[in-house]
Amino acid sequence: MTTTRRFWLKSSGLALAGFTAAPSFLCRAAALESKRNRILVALFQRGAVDGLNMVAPYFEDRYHELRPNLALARPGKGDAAALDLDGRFGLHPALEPLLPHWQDKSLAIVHAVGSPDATRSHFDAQDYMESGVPGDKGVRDGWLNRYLVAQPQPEPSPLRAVSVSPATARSLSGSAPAPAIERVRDFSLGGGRPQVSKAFEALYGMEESKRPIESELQEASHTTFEALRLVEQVRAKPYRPANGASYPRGRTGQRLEQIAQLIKADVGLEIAFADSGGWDTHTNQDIQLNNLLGEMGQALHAFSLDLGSRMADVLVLTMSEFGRTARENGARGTDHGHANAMFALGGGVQGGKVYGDWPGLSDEELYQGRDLALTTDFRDVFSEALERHLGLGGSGAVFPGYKSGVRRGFLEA
Amino acid sequence: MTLAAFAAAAARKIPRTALNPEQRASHLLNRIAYGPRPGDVDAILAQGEAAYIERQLAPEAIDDEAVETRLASLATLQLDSRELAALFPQPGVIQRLVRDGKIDRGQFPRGARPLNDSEEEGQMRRPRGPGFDILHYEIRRLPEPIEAPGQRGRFAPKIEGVNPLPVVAAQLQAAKLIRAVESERQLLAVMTDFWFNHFNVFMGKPQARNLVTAYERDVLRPNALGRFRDLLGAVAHSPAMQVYLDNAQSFGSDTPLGKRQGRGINENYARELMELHTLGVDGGYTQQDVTEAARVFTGWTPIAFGFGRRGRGAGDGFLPPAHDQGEKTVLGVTFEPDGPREGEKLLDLLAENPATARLLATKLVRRFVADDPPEALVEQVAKTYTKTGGNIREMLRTIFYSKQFWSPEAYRSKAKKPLELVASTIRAVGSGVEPNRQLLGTLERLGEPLYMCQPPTGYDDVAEAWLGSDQLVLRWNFALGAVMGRAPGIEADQDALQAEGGRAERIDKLAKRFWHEKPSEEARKRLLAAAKDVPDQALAALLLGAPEFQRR
Repeated sequence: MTTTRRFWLKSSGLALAGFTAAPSFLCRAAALESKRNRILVALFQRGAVDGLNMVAPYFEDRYHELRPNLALARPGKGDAAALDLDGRFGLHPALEPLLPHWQDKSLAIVHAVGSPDATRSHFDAQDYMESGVPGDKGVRDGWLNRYLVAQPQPEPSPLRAVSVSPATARSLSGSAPAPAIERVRDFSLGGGRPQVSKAFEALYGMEESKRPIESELQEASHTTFEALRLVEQVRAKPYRPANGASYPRGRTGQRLEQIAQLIKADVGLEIAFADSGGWDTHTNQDIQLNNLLGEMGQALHAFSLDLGSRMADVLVLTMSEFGRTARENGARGTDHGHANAMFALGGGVQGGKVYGDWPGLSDEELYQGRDLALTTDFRDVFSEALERHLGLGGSGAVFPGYKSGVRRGFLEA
Repeated sequence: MTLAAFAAAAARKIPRTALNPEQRASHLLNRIAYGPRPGDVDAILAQGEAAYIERQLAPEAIDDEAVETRLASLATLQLDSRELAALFPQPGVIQRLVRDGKIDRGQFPRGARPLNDSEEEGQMRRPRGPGFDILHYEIRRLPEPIEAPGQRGRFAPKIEGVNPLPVVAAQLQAAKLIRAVESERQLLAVMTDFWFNHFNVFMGKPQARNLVTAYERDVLRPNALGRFRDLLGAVAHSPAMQVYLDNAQSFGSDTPLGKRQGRGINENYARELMELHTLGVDGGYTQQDVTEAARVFTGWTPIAFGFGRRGRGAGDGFLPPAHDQGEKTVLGVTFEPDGPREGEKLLDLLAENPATARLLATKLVRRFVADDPPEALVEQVAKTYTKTGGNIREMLRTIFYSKQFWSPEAYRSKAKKPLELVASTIRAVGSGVEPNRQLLGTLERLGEPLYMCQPPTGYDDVAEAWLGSDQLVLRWNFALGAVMGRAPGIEADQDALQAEGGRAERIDKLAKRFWHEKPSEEARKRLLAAAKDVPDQALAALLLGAPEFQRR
């Protein structure tokens, strides 16, 4: 609560006059015209996506040996072949909607990236990636919330950070406000009847108090009414994606559409978090990946198309708790592994390139003889996003105890 | 009341402060219970505050049969962890059975579909599939188990299309809500929740899912008002904690098991034991102490209780081949190799440390008095701890009879946490509770999904953690729903919601009913202004949605 409180103490006169004076979100929107803010969208693929088939190292003979049934064919060899990226790596064919972004260099890939922690438990690995402190279970807040604290804004929007999920995701939880808004249409008081909002606003129009709990509640309620007004403003216009963008049905598409809606409404959004599930493909992986990557590719493409020129301010970063075994298992699937691949899509991305050192797939090169080894720590990728995209001076406070200084350069410096 | 309790009560006086009798009674009910029900304040006015306190401090003497009977129908609550593990196996176990052709694919639930366990393990959410409604029947009874040859015999099939995997958590969550709203043993419910947060485990960790029922039932509740050392020991021995903080994965690296598995010590439990359970983060221990303590606790693993694939049958909870046989030094004290007794000795040492007394006193005073605990009272409570050998009941007595507890500064100074808000609202409108998906979902969206706090810190106990904008909107909508009959599982007593007279008069009457005080002029002004915009039958929702009711 700390960041918005200061704003409200300063401008409580404005807040009390909220109904007659120009709503403050309009002032804010006007201010944003001149200084458009950068936006980071974090998309978590829960369940551990198979990075080796999402971005396949088709140039390695070893890849085809390890996965006699599952390996993507070399580009041009049939229907289900990899889509060539750089002569070495290929996109899963279901990700075809992302190819134009690769070609216009707004899509970059970091490969062999992940958490140095050896755990193969979804629970622990997700926890570590979201807290941003692998190996330490005692960390309460998430890395994105620590960013909000590390780079405070003088008058942050109550929607500066939004978790597009039923409850605020671990990555975004912490002391800075980060409401969970799963669906814009459901975030309302009394079913959206204006007189109910008016009643509660009168109810919370308390005189200033010296008791901490009273001022805490008063400030929280001001932020809340402001958030409600902002969302109401967003909701007032029926949303139509621009440029013929068509979001796929399903969670990823719907959530990215909510985020696009918030971005285009200029509500002061800076950080958005969304997740998708079902990536834990122990059996019949090809069918499942086809569906899941198909949805993700279409959703990201629609999102980019929908945002149009506004995409220049936006960076989408994908992540997953760990990768999967280099070898396929006996059930046409893969099991829990180690390093993985991440996508970075948006403005400022130095795209069209696969970043990171390639560790190789021979037995000696594989991590513990079975998984893709790690050459980039996920915190280096996150740090680069925070520093280069959002202008954070240094990510030390966001990733306590971690300092490598490695920047892969997938973003413009 | 026992003779000893009488004597204790007689020896202590409730300090008189500027609060009036109604305020005092509602304060007491808001702090040591989940808020007043209709009639509760009058009862305290009649019997006296000390009598209520002493009664609540002796829960075993309180008749709670109505609630016990209700809970008896939640079948998993009574089961042993091994029985739960057999009935509700991990998705992986089912996957193997299907793969090996031992059971038929159609027999098990959607959520446990073969070889895709990410729903359960990865997302840590209760499933939202069609037909999942724990309200009416499927949490009431256990499914008939299916025979699975070669496996431990039986497991729960889907119940009319419903995934049984979340049943264990759903029943436990339902029970917590029922106890908070309906149990006569209110302080016991409050303290069980307090200790659950102090010794938090996360039920969303798949390996812990079937262990938490017994953890709360057999470890926390029986010790909630007893000796801290007993509680600490019971927690240390519990499979739930060992699994949650990975002590189950901690092996002396030079031991037979450590060598065979290529594993060493895992420090998670040892670290949180010192940082969160006993000494506190500034409690004067070093990283070296953590490492050494981890060595002390090697071999404390649920495998030794007969859990898991490598289970060795019911044992004493100690697995010698995993225990580091070397000498250890923790906090300057040397531990000669002595098997499981090393751990007991270390727990003694930690329980006796003054830093532990302080940490516990601080947290209890924060729970019952103020977010910013008054130093003098913390000291007094810590002294009680030391003097009584860690008697929790006596620490509580020190708090409940202190002038700080009864001070006007403490009155309504705490933000209600989501469970407190939900339970106190239901109690205020004179309703019982029929737990259901929406209600449990409300707690989840308010930020307190029961038993699902991921980090070992447990849920925060200070106002600022609970007043996010999404949370306030939900709180207000919840008040509206409870009053307008739109909240399933809650049936407000309509008489409690209405009042006669003009609007100002009705507001005064409702304020007395729900706030147990006359509204200040300022509050009355706000209520009157707000009342202009809502229909008459929603007036009560204003009282329950007001800032005054968000506080306790």
